[in-house]
Amino acid sequence: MSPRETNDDSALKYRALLQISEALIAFRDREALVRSLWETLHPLIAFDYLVIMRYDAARRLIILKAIAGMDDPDPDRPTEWPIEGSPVGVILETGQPLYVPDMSVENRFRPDLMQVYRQHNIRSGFWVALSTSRGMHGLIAFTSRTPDAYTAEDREFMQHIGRQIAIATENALAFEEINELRRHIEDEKVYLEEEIRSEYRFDEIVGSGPALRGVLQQIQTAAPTDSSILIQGETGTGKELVARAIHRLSSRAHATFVKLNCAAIPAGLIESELLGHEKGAFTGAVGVRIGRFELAHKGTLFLDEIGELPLEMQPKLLRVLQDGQFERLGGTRTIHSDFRLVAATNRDLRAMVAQQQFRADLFYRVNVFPITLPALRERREDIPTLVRYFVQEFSTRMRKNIESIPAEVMETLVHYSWPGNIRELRNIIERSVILTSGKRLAIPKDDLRESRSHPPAPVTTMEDAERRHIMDALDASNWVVGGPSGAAAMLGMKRSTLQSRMQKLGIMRRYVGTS
Amino acid sequence: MMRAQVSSVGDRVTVNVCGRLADSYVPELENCWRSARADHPGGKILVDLRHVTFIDDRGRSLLERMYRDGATFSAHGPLTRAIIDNIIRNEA
Repeated sequence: MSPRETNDDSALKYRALLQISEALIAFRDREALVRSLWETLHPLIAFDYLVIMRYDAARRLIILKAIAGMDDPDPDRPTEWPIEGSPVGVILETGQPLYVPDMSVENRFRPDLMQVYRQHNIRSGFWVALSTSRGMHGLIAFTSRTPDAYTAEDREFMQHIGRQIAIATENALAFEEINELRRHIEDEKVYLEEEIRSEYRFDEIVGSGPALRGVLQQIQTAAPTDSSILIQGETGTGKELVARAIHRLSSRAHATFVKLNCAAIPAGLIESELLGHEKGAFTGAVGVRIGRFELAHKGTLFLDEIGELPLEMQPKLLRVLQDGQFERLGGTRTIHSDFRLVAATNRDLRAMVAQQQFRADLFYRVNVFPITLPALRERREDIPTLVRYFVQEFSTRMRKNIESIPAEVMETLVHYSWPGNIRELRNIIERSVILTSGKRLAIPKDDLRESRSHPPAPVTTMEDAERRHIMDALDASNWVVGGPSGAAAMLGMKRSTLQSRMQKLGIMRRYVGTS
Repeated sequence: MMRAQVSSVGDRVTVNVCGRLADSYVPELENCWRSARADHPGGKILVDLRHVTFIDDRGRSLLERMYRDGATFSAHGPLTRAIIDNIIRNEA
């Protein structure tokens, strides 16, 4: 070889490396990359097949990813091989690229692999590990039908190429994994949404009585607007079902419905649940956490039991509702979130405002469109349908053959007061179906009778109870605190003690006069 | 989800309905019924509702129309039976 030829050859290889770099920059899929490599390298190196494989260290497998040069690839050809008895196994053992100049005398590979090489008449090959600082993740193979096809110079050049490709393929692998995870999350989201829909079916709001019809009409009216909605109703009347229905019928249905039960979160955590926090914002903030306001962007935020929202959190919620802006705890960046608020409560928020337990400005902001759900005892006409619906649901689920509901059973169910509303009815029917052994539904009548004669009083906090007790005494004394017929005497305490308690509980004299 | 399937053995035609007869599924059953009716004009068609889990108002109206159009029903479960009994009683 003359010096001139050597220079030409080097120039060609240099140009080829540049072309490969360009191909790698534009690299979108492996097949295209292999085609591009083939076209660039084939004039320079005498290979017949170019193969890129992925090394799966966890499963100790080598996986075929892309191939060029095979005119008629066998569709049934295996695409995964164990690394033992393969070129990868040898490379891992030696830590060096592998050159096999004569396949006919090679004895380190497994018979099934040798069979593939023989099938394609491969006589020699050069295998280069695709490695980065994070280790080996694949392999590029240049195989040829010619024995001893590559010079030492060719092999050195192929190693250069291997190093370039390694970086690109590692990025591509990471990209594929991210895509795979994203697909998985999307599938999971679709599944979970379906799950939620099946649990909270608006089209399965059972009943046709006027009270329910009125509520459904209100839902249809309010849902398409973007106004805040306050759903009021006793426990078990289906407030969350209605909130989800409003979301589904709104223009935000494509986005997320985010729920927070204010009573279920410790007061100290509500702020970080709503606003989110940066890493290190407080002890325990081990990472960044996105709050519910952010999660609900473009969607609906459902604040259940809003009456339990701590007083100190209320102005912060109000600010977000007014401006749509907030900062994560420990953060300085202002975040914008566009969500629609649907709140629910079983408490009398107006009374709470009067007692200074709930901010008036927040109440008016939340109570733009109030929807009050009727208690089950106010829509008794729907009870038979609900009973039949739940019996059918539970008997199917429990594989029981319950065909009828005796008239006296239905009578008992219709006339019961249902303090726990539909949730209680559903639970009673579930228990009844479990207890029924024949084809006629039997109900645990004692439970209903006992509950009927002693409706459970709503449980309030000690502070609430104390406030109510003092208010009763003040009402009875016509708001006279001291003196022999004053509230303090009635309550058996000193006037100054009562005044101190009133101050602490935020009790102020009500406005007396025309309203 | 709802699934409706027409099968026939000799002169006997059955429309098997499974799942929820509600909402957007109602027109699907209606199409299925019309097609079965067109294929067997004047014949007796049994609509098997034993595996129906829920019927809404639209579904109930369709069943009424099907009954008037000559369907006979096979029902199971208190809700489905009550609906079918009611349809038969009202049409009597």
